[in-house]
Amino acid sequence: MAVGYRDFMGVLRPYPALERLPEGEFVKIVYLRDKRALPDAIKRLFDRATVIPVKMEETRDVAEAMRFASGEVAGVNLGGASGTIHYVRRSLEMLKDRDLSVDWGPREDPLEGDVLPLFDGLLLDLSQFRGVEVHPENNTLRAEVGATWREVSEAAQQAHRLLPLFPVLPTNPYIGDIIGGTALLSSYAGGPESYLRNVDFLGADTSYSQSGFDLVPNNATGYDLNSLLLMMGRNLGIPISLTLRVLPFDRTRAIRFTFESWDGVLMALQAIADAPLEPLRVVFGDPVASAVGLDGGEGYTLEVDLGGAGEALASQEKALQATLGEETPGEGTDGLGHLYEAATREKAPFHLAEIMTSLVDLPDLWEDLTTWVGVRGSAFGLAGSMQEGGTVRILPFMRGDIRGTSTTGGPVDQALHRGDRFNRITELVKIAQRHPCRVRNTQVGQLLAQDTQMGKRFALARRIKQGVDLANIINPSGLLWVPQPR
Amino acid sequence: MVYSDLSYAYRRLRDTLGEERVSKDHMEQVLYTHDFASLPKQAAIQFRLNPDLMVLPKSTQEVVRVLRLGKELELPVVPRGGGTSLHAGSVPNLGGILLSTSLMKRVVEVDVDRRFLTIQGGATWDEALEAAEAAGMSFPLEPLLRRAATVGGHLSNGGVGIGSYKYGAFSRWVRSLEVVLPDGDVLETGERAFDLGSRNYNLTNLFLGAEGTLGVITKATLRLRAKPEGFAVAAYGFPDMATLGEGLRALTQSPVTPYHIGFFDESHLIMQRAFQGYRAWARGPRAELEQTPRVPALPAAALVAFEGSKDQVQAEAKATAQILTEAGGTRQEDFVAELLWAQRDQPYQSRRISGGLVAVEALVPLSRLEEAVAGATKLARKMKTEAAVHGFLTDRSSALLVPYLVTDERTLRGQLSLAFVERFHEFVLGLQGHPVGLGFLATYNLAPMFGPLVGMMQGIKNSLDPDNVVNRGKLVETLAKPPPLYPFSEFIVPPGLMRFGLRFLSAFRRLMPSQRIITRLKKRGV
Repeated sequence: MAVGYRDFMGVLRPYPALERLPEGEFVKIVYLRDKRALPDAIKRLFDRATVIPVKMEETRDVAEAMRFASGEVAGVNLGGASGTIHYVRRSLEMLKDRDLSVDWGPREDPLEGDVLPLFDGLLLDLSQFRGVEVHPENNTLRAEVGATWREVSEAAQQAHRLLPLFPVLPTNPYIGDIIGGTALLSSYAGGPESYLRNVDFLGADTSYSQSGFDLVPNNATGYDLNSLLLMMGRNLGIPISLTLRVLPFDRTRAIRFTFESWDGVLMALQAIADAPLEPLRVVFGDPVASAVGLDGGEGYTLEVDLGGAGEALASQEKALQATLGEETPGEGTDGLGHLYEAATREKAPFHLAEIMTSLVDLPDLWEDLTTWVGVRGSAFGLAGSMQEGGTVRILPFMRGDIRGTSTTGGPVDQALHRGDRFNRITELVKIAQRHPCRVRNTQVGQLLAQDTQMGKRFALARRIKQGVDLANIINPSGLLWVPQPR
Repeated sequence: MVYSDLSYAYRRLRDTLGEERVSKDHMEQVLYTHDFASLPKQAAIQFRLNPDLMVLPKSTQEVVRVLRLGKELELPVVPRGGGTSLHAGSVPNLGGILLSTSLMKRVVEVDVDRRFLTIQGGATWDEALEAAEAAGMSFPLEPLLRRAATVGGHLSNGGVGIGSYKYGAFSRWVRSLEVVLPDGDVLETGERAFDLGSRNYNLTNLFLGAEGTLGVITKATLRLRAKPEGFAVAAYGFPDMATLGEGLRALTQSPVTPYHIGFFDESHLIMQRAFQGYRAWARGPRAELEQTPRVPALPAAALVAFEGSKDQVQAEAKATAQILTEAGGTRQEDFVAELLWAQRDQPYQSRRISGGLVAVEALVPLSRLEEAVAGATKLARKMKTEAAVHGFLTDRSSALLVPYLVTDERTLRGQLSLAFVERFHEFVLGLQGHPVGLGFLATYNLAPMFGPLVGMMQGIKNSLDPDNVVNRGKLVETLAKPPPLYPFSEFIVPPGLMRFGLRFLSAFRRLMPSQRIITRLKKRGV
């Protein structure tokens, strides 16, 4: 597995962003072999590690694979279709003398655009786990990791409950990716940590455990493992199902405001943050975002979603309109708004980075980002959401097809394959670093400046990983230290 | 463990903090041998409850030095805030250095634009809330014992508080913590200016509920919000706990979201009445006592508070009144609601009448609320004593239940009542709930609660505190004094043994005479 930086100097020449990276960072990125992050020429050089995507149908299959990976058993006997078993067995036989690791993903196309395992090993496909149960009497739902956000949301609505976590871009992520870190769901009242009650997961020792409780919260006794699983992404365990809190709801209203300039959005956000309002979601976007998801036409769009009982909902809507002034009329519709309607997996834009900042520090950052979008062209846009307390999340994104980048062959795919995406992420990180904010990308961008941005927190996360997963079986590339041969 | 150089440790600490902030005085040692839960004297057989040295640091750097010294000399360091823990979380079990944060009360920074308040961990919640108020902002949550509980101490113990029904757990409102890790390293867990959520290696939540076993919280950055425009509170009486449970469940099934929903059983209301009478009696003549407004004697009561925009408060109060009245509740006069609201942070005043009490907290599913209240009462009766119960809803499916036994801890039977804690915890786990806080008395509950994850938690503790310096022998394991045959080893108390010990006390308590303070008060018409 030893790969030297200098071996690739010639290949890197057309990609200045890659070439400027320090050696350690470069090695880390290359080892991830993200299909869309790296130019084709480089990917070919790294196509060495043997990755076996395994389709999992039952929890015991996952446990079996984990035991095999940890060396506890010599063979693995997976249930499910015979063809799958045959394939897996043959593949595993080829790897029987090697050390194995395990990564996971709730998706049918595990190699597409995801972080790939650093070491030879198993990539567990959990897309068969897609059951959803709603328990209205407890105001909770339990969803298996392979269910999509929309499936979960619709199941909740059928039981007159609302899953108060929404995407900022019109995407339809797998619910398990809340733990994986790629489902960027949030609400005005906070992110998944506010609603996640329990995760059923397999730990590094292959034990099947619950990080919390289905009926009562667990943030008062013992170490908060729900938060730890969320924070550590894919590195501490393999989740099978999630229990989330849901809210009873009567009606929801989406109120959309259109502004000619960004200043109007900014003033509206400030007014909402200062007002005694309790929206479900506040999202905004530039004209590109409006065209992609908010259906707002040419201008800047702000959408505020409200929910509640009859009179209280009406008073909220009235208060919102009073807050923004009569000269800014909103257009209200029943339901969860355009973003909800536009959410699909097939034609979703994908975010390049997630930037967290405060409302006070937003104007300068936004100005720089707008300049960047202007330079990079109409394939790029900016969307964002606001949380209570004036926290703003900005998602610079690229229009395109989240799937099939290797098959559709359009201009976006060509750009991706040229390594443009990686270069754009690098640029965004550099812009963000000039402002009081934190930037992260769940895929390659995660590597960029995490050590310097997160400092001791990052180091401590690694210590926790080492303390919990002694053999470093689960997603050993996850915390991104420069790889050592196993 | 080496204890031989305590005098060296004392000199080092004195040089660091100054003589006036280091003590080895015996009287002070005794003060720190218990927290809100009075431990029976017999506990000293198994544990070294007296700290060897007590220190009062004022700054983060001083805490760093104390922890580094603890690591160097292999002395356990026990952090302590206001001592309001109910389960001996801040009481030494192996002696060592007791680090009290009570002088760390400084308001470090208030940023109204970015809506945060950074305050040292030893400030009480009253002081934190006042600081927010002084800045023209507010913080939406309060712990039950906010007057004494410190910011760092309460955050180390979780969890939830008054206002959680609407605003969630404290974790949602804590942006960042400054924590001194066991090796003396200082960690900022999140960002002050904005929320990181659970991502971006936000370690804040790891330290909430860790009961001080992973480090000492020296500063907390709390998210503030604008003061609410409107506020209202209403009280409802119910014929019994079952009807109250039905009413509260109906309320949680509606989209109405009150700020706080509290509940009280008859015994708690009797104790509150008794204390109100006692206070009036202590103040003045009998005529004044009779005119003093007191909580009515009700079989069960609920207290519902609302806040938000004026219109919203009005609309939600109206909708709530309809739901609870239809469920069999009776709206009480406004003064009752105001009285109960005013006493929300003083639930145990009756301690002054009885001479002591044993309180225990647990989270229970709302669907089994009345079962939990009845079970707590029955368990207390079995132990020949009486329980009063109060609590509040933490969200739409769970409630924090706080039963307390009214005892006289000066007597042996009063001290033995602590055994109730074990029986109640076991009962709550059977209801699919769990105890809140484990300290070193109740660590045997960790395995029933988390199963194989106990190993994971021990892995986390080991990776952050490999030398086991901070709050050693708590939460993830119980350590006790070495047994006589092995004087140089620490004794890891098997969970079963701890449980057995408390059960033995419980059985012993059942052989002793009854203590029926609440029944006596009721017979007197209190």
